[in-house]
Amino acid sequence: MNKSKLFKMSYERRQGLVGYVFLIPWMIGTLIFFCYPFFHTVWMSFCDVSFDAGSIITHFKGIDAYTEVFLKQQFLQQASTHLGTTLLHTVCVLIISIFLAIILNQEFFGRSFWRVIFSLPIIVASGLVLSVFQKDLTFQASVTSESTNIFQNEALTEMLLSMGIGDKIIEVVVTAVSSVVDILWMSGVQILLFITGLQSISPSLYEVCDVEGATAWQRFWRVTFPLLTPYIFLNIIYSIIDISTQSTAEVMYTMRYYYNNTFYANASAAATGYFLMILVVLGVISLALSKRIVYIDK
Amino acid sequence: MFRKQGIDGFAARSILMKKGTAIGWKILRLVILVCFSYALVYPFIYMISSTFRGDEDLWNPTVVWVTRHFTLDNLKNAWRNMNYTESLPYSLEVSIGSAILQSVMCAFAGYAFARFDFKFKGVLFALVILTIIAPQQMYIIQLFGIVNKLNLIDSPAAFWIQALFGCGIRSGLFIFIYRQTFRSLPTDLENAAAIDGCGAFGTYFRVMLPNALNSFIVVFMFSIVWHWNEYFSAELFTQHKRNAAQQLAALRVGLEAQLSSSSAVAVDNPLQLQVWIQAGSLLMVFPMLFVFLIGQKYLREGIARTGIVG
Repeated sequence: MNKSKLFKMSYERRQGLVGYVFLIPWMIGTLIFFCYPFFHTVWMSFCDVSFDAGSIITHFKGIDAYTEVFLKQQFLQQASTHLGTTLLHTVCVLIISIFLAIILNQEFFGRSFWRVIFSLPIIVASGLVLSVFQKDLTFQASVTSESTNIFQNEALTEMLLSMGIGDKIIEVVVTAVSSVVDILWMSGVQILLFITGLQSISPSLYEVCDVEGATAWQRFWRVTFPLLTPYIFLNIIYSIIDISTQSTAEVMYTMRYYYNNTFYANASAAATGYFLMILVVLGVISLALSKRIVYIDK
Repeated sequence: MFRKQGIDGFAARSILMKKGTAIGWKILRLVILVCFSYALVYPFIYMISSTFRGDEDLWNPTVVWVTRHFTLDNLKNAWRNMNYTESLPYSLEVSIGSAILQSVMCAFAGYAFARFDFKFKGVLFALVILTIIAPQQMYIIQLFGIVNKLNLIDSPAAFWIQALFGCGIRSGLFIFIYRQTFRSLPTDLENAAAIDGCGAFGTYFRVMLPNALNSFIVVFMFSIVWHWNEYFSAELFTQHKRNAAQQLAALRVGLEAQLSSSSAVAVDNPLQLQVWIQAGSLLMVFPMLFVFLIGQKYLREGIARTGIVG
């Protein structure tokens, strides 16, 4: 009887149910391992938080924490400054990673070797080894500097000085080089994702290009770029999230400061507010881009 | 030569020009790769150079990169201090197990978001994005409470169970990767499967998943490396056991104790400490280099894709 009921359902509703079946494990997991802990933290931002015998006690207080963090302190300014930097860095990361992914997707000798080299930031940047590279042996993320500072600027400065180039120009060159290096250290994941995207483009489309006599420029803008847009969208969203929540940023430092000094309400308020800001940015961007993403059959 | 093959001079010249630009591009490509990679490789060369450097060369300014007294002592010392014989298998157990579970389970959710329409899809997907944005630090206290209640402290299952339910480290990103991959596959594939009598799950396992193999590999590699490097939550989820990342973090303290207790080595010798920590980092990075070297070889052009278009 139940089965006949299932067949009476419209095709769309049945499909929707199948969708839920695929989603069930994730929904259960997210409820337990994310929703409860996360929204409990959000709830803490409206409360007076104290600890008693290992358990957290909360008393509802209102939006005091928000007014304190966002109106009385510099948090809002720090947050918006960092979001601005994030957008700028995202654009740079995208350009550099598309460029390198296209090169690394070509057939040439030693490609595996080069691909591993450009994956190094993925292996290193997520772990403690990064602080070893920064010669910071105390394993504490640097507090104020945004830069990863891995690149040795002294050698470059000396080289340029010996060539008799003026101080001003050297400063510009060195800054440019070290910011390219910083961007490169943020681009590991994006490069690999773009390589995956490039691999999913059918070679027959490029054969057509050859037959029709398209130039490399046309090939890129008419074939590669449109078919890469789903991956560009993915990487835009990921880069924004990744860069905006960098542990070296001043905003994140302020949040850690609240936590470490047991201002739990303030910490939760700051975190919630900042993530809402990021969500709004992401929402605006995905609305603006959603019409421009090319999926093959839609 | 070209005339013999029946090609006139104009064509021969254009072929030569094409060959010229091809060679030029090859050289330019190499230059670009070398320039960009310099900044990435430099610290690695430094790390390897320090690791195999003998004590005699530490203070010798004429020794820049290649040591004259090759030694494995630094490596052995780091190995012993990191208790690598135990922490390596434990770390591998956690990261391989979680990576398999995570890459399989996130694919389900990604497929649901890519291909089905259901109520609250937008809200649920916003939740996926939220899980990527919110760093674990923010809600780790409550998460610890849950893991503690499940009695999973000190067990690799603390990570496995989150991976099994499509949660855990950066799951949101993996779901997003799968969603974009599945959406960029043509629906013709599923329609063909449906006409041939495949159910929803048959279509998924036999048609869609094989076509998303590249993303599967990439997610697997990301997951393994991020679990491998996980320090923060590992610190909370363990009491007696330590993974490789925790051992590396503890290395400095352990080494300082060793330095001050042994009279043979000059007390508080910063260079010695640095060399040992570099050796520890090499131990930490090496297995993951191996994973990436093998993993990226399997990134291939989609099979069905080439069959269907055209």
